[in-house]
Amino acid sequence: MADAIRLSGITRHFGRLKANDNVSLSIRSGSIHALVGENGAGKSTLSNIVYGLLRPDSGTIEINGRPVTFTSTRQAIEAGIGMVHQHFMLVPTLTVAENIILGRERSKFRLQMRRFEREIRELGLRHGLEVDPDSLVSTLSVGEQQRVEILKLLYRQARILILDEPTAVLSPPETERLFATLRSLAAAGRTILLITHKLDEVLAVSDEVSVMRKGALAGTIPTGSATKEELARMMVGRSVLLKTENPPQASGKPVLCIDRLDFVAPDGGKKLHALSLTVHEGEIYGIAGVEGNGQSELLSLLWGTSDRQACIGGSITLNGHPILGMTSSAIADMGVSMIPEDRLKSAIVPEYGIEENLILGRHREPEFHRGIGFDHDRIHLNAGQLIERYDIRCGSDANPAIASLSGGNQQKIVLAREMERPGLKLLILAQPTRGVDIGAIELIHRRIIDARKSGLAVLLISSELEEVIALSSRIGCMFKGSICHEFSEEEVRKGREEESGLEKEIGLHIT
Amino acid sequence: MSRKSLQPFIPTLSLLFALAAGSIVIAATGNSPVEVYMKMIRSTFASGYGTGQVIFRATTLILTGLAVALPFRVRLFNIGVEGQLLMGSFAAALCGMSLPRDTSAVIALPAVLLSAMAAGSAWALIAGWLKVRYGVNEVISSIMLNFIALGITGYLLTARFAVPSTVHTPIIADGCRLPGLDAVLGLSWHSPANLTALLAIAVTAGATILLYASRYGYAMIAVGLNPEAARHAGIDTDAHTLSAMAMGGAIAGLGAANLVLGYKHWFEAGLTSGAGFMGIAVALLAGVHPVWIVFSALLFGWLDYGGLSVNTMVPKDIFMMVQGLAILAIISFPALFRNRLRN
Repeated sequence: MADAIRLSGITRHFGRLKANDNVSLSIRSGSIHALVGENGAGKSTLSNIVYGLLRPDSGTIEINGRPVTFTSTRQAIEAGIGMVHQHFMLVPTLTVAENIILGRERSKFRLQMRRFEREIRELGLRHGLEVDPDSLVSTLSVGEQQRVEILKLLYRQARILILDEPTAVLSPPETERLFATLRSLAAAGRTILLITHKLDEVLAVSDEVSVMRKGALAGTIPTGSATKEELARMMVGRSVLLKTENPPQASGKPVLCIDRLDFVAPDGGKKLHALSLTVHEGEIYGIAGVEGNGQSELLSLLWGTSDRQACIGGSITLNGHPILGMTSSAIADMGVSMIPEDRLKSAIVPEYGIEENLILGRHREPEFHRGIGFDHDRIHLNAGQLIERYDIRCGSDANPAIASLSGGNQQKIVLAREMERPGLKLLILAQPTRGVDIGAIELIHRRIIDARKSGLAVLLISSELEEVIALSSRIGCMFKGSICHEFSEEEVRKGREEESGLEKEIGLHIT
Repeated sequence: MSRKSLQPFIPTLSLLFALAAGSIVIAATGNSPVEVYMKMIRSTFASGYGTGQVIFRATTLILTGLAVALPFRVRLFNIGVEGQLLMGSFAAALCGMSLPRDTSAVIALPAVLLSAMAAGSAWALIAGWLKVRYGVNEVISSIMLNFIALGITGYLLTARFAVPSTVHTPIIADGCRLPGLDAVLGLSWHSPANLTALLAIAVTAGATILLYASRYGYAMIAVGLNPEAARHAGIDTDAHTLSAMAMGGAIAGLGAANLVLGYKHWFEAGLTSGAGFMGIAVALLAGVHPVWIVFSALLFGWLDYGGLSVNTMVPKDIFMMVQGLAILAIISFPALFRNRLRN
C-alpha cells in the first residue's frame, strides 16, 4: 500500500536548538503509527510540521504521494489531515452537533440541523464514537469530548488523524474504547499517527512505532517485533530499569489518619465524601484514580491550601495532632513535605535560579539565614550537595534559571528539596513523574522507595496505574471522592507479579 | 542581536525616540529644537536654583515611583498613589497645624511624618483589603479612591480648614518643618529642594535592600512571580498583598515631607500637581527597579522644570508629550522588537 505521509530530511531549529534533525519517516496508509520519545525529543514539533502549524527549515513532506508545502493548518486540513490536540478545542456552550459543524455550516436552517445530527449519530455508531449530538459539550465527560474531537475530524473527511497524547486524560476502560475506535478507523482505510510516551499503549494498539531521541529519529520498527525494554532503550539511548526493586517491609505505627473527610465546593459540588485512609511509618500508600475524582481537593486539605469558602467535614491527624485548617507552613513545620500535581504552577518559581528554588518553602529554616537576608554560601553549598545527590543535570552555569532545565530535572529539584526537609515524617507525592522522562523516572522511583525504607510514611497520588502498582505497599482506589476499595499489602505484593491482572482489577474500582 | 541583549537599552532607546519626536514638534512650532534643549539644560543644570528645582520635583517622584514599584512586585498595579499622596499631605498639614507652635522637632517631626505615612498607608490598604477579601481589581478601586481622596481633601479644605479667603490650611508648627538643602549642604540655591531629597534616597536604599537582600523580599518576589507556588511554599500571599500595598501607601504619604514639611508648610489646592500619576510613569520607565527610579525621577523632574523654563519659547505641554511618548515607547518597543526578531 502507498504511504500516507512521507517525510524526508525534515529539520527545524528553534534558535540554537535543533528540535528536528534530518527526520525521514514513512507512514503506511491505513496503519496506526506510534511516535514515541521523551519530553523534548521533537515529537510535537514533528507533528506540528505535518499539521502545518510550523514550517520546516529544510526537508520535504509528501501526502499520499504528492509533495506539499503547508503555510497554514487550513491547507493541511484541505489535504485531509486532522489533529486532536491534548487540550480540546471545543466550545463548551454549544451542542455536540454545533461544535462539529462549526466553521463548516452549509445552511442556516434548523431543518438541516436534524440531518446533521442523524449523520453524526451514524458516523458515531460505525466507529464506537457514540455521543448525543444534542447535548451541550460542557455536560460531557472528558472521554466523550475526545469522541467529539474525533467526530469533528471525520466529519471534515480527514483521512490522516494525528492524536497528541490522547490517553493522558482517560480512564483505563475509556482508553480501551478509544483503541477500539482507532482500530476500526484504520480498518476503514484511515491513517493514524499516535503521539505518546506510554509504551504499553504503543504495544497494545500500533502497527509500527517510530522512536525519537533528541530531535532525531532513533528508528522505526514493526510493533510486533518490539519489546518495552527495547523501545525504552531506543528512547533514552541506554538500558533502563523499568521496574525498580521494591522489597517488602513491615510498616510501623500510623502517621497520617484521615477520617470521614467531606469537601463541598463553594458551587455546591461534592468533591470528597467520607474519605478515610491511614498511612503508616515505612509504607507507601498509593491512591489510584482517574483525575478529577477529588484528588486535588484532598491534596488542598492535606496541605492547608483549600478554598476557604468550601464546606469541610471529618478530620485529618498527623501523629495524633489534628492538622485540618492549619496553614501550609505550620503543616510543613510538623515534618510534612508535599510535591504538588502541577510542578510549573505550584512547585517552582521559573524565573528564580536553581539555588533559590532549592530553598523555596524551606527558606524559613534558620540554617539558611544570615542577618535579615540569606546565608548565600550555605545556600550554594546546599544546592551543590542536592545537585550531586539527586543527579540534577543543570550544565556548568553558576546558577541557571530553573526554566532552562528539562521537566525531569525540574522535578528532581522539587523532590530533592522536599525529601531533604529536616525532621520529615510524611511525604505526599502527587503525580511525581508527570512530564518526566524515563531516565529520570528511574531515579525518582528509587528515591521514593529509599524514603520508605528509611521509615517515612509516603502518600502517593498518581493517575499512572503502573506507577501506583510498582511503588505502593497498599493501594486505595479513589472514585467520586472516596476510597471505594483498598488492596492489602499481600494483594498488592501478589498482584505485582502479574501486573496486568491487578491493573484490570483496579480499573474496575475507579470507574 | 537577540532580544535579551536588547533589553537593557530599551529605556534609553525609548527616551531618545521621545526626545526626537519632541524635536519634531518643537521644529513644527517654528523653533530650533537644539536651541530649546540647550536652554533647558542651561536653565537647570547650569544654575543652582534650577538644579534645586529639578531635585525638588524629582524627590516627590522618587517617592511616588517607589509607591508604585513595591506593590508591582506582588503583581499589584497601584494607580492610587495620587490619592495616597493627597491623604498623606492633608494628614501631615492637619497634624502640623494642630501641634503647639513651640513643639520641639524631636517630637513634631516624627508625629507629622508618621501621620502622613499612616494616612497614605490606610488609604492604600482599602484597595488592598478589597482585593484580598473580595477579589476587587486594585486598578479600578485605587483609581476610584483617587477621586474620593480628591473630594475629601477638597471639601475639608474649603469647608473646614482653609484660612479665610485663601485655598490653603494654616501654617504648620515650626518644629515640623524640614530644612532646605541650602541649609544642610551650605549652598545658596534658594530653591525648594529640602532634606526630603536625602530621605528619598534613604527610602530607595531601604527598598532595594528589602527587595534584593532580605528574606522578606525573596518571599515577596516569589509571590509576584508565581503566587500559586508561593502559597504552596507556605508564604502568606494575602499578607504580602496587604503589606506591599501598605508600604506603597506609606511611601506615597512620605511625599508630604517634600511638599508640606519642606516647601509649602501648609496643604493647598493643587499641591501635588499630579506627582502621584507621574510616579506610575517614573516607575515604568525604571522597569520598577528602585535604583533606576532615582534616575528616572530626575529625568522626569528635569523635563518638568526644564519645560517650564522654556515656556516663553514653546508651550510646556510639549514636554508632557515627551514624557508620555517615552512611556508609550518603553511599553511598545519590546513587543515591536519581538515581532521583528521573529520574522
